[in-house]
Amino acid sequence: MVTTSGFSNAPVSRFLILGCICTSILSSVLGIKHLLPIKPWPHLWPYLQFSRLLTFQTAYTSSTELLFSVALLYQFRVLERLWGSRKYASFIVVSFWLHVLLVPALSLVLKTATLGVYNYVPSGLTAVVFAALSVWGDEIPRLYRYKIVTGTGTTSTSAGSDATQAHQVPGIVLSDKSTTYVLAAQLALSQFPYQLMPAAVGWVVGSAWMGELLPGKLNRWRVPSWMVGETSKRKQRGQYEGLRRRLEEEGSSADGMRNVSDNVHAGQDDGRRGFGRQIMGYFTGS
Amino acid sequence: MSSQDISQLSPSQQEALQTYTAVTDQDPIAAIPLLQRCEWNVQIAIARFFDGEPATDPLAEARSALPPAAARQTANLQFESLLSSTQPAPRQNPEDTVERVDTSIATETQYRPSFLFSILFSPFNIMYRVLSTILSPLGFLVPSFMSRLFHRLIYQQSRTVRRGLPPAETTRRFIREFSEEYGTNTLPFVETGFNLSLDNAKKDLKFLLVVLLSPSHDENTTWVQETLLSNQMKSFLDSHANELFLWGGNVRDPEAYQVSSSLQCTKFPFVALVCQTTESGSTAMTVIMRAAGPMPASELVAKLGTAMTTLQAQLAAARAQRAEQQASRNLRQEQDSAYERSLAQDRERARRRREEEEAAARAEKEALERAREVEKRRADMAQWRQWRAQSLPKEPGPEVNDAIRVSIRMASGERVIRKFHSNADLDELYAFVDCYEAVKARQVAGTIGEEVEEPVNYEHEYGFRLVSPMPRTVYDLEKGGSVGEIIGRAANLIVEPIEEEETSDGE
Repeated sequence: MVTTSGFSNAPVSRFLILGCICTSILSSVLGIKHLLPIKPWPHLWPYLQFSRLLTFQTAYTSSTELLFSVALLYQFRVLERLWGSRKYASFIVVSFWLHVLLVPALSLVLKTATLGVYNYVPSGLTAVVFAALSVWGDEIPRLYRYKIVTGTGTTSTSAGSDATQAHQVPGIVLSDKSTTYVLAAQLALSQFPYQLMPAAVGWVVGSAWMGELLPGKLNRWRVPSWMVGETSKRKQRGQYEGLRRRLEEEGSSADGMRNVSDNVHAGQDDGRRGFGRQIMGYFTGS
Repeated sequence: MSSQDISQLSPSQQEALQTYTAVTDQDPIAAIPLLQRCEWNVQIAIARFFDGEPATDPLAEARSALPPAAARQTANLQFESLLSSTQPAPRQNPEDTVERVDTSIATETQYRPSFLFSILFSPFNIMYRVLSTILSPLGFLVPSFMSRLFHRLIYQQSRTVRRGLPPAETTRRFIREFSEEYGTNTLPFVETGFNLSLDNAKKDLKFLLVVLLSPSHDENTTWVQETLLSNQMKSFLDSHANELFLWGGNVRDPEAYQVSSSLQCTKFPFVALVCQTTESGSTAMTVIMRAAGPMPASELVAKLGTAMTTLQAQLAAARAQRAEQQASRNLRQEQDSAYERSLAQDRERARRRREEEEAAARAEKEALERAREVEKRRADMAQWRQWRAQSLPKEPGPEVNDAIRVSIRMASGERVIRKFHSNADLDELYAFVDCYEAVKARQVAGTIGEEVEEPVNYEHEYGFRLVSPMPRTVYDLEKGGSVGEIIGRAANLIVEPIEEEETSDGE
């Protein structure tokens, strides 16, 4: 399934999630949580701690935010499967750097606009998560919709039976995607109101990516293919293709790819294990 | 009527009815027709009560479910042993089973933004319009992407929305978009929804080749152009055209998205070969090959070919078995229909015979009735004649001067001479002629015999006319009048029977 559980064919998501968890736990264990969020005053001025501009996005300081953003990122692994790892990685990188640039800048604007009252930049990857949410909302089709009836309508027939009648019954129409939006809303409203701004930035970045509106054709840019373990040169693949096919025919395996994908399910191909998998494997003893 | 119905049932049927009503708590009267439709099989009836009646005939289903005649299976033993030796365990992954997908979304209409949403965005909307009007001369200062981005955020309509369509429409849209994007092609996509394609493939025992495309995938276009539209793939599809359905879908459609769920697809572009295998029970469609991710056409064709040759023998055997099953079913149906026909003929014959018997009985009864009537009428007539004879006035003696002497030639040829009073009614003359026998009998018997009552409900009609021969005059009774007036002093009369009334013309 596109939504098959696990991280098969979703290495970027896996890296992102594990990295997010690890940094958050590490910052908590090492007791350096206070170093992550930015208070423009006094951190940037007069302390001139500009390194915070590069560290605030790496980890979450509260476990609820971590939980919700990880849950959302896990949902968005379908994007990676639909797009391919390389495009998804490019998207993450672009939105990450836009997050790094835009969120502090906008917080400074807001600080001057509110005469210094708004003086906090929460840590975490919220903008990236929301960029992915915006894209996810566009890309993923809605599978079904349902209605929570809030009052008794003209007729007491169940909402699903007749479309015209169902429209008359007052209620809230929800779809299978609603729960994800609820999670995202929870994330945006944490540390109220400070996470709202990164969330909005993320949403705008995601929309701009989808509408191909980013300046400099940023949505066309791709990370180098070696970063996601792909060989971009078609020639290289062609070079080994004959050999592989001969091997497959010799083994007369009905379908090589099924074995490979099954192995991915079983988690046995050590050669393809990512760094995060290996760490996990170290702890779980596999 | 209802209690009659129940009492007319056989004991086993009553037992079935009791079981059925005990489970379903339905009215017994209402339950009988359903049970009859189910041939008094309680289990089927209960299942139907709860699940609704099926559209198909359960008898036919039961017939088709009959164990097939011994199916011969051809197999290349050498090939299979080679396969089994190289494949350590041909384990059947339960996830490989392909199920139908839910396409109920098809009925939904276009989503309208909610009222709350429009309220939330209306201030931004108004602000945007005002500002854009005021600041339009300064527009060159703002990067164009900013204004377009803002426009995109404000107007949700500017986003491309794929409407949910019925499955067949979705597939047709996919084919249209595919040919628009990659030019006209000869790929034989089927124009039905996934469920129907799956059912067709299952019914015809064909392979179903599922192609799932994700247009936003980077490799999608190259893969389609270099692999799917390659000559190798084309020749492969052409050579297997009659044993392969090709179904394609865009994962941005709900249906194809669900298909990707059910096919366990985690990488695009995705090709899967689905067919019915006997390993997982004869009813399930199974994925026998997955080709995920970009790959050259030669590799894909090789994989498809390998997978298909593995299963072609099996599928051919299944096809032969099904043909055999179909043949035996046809035979059975023919037998059934022949039996039905002969039964109908017998019934028709029996019905005709019964009708004939009934008609004969009725005719016999009618004849009997008629005979009895005739008998009664004759008896009545005899009685009437007796009565009339005794009620006739005596023949006037010689002392009566104006007595009219009438000589009558009876129908039997006998000549009778009698006198009448001149003022006697013509009816008396007729009555005398008619009752002559009785009168004669009375005279023979001598004195007055027993008195005879006038028969009730009897209207006597004379079966003759009195005619004077020369010149011919008919003395009709209807004209009335006395004998003297009509006949005169004396007359010679002939009794002339009225031919058409043969029943009353007894003499």
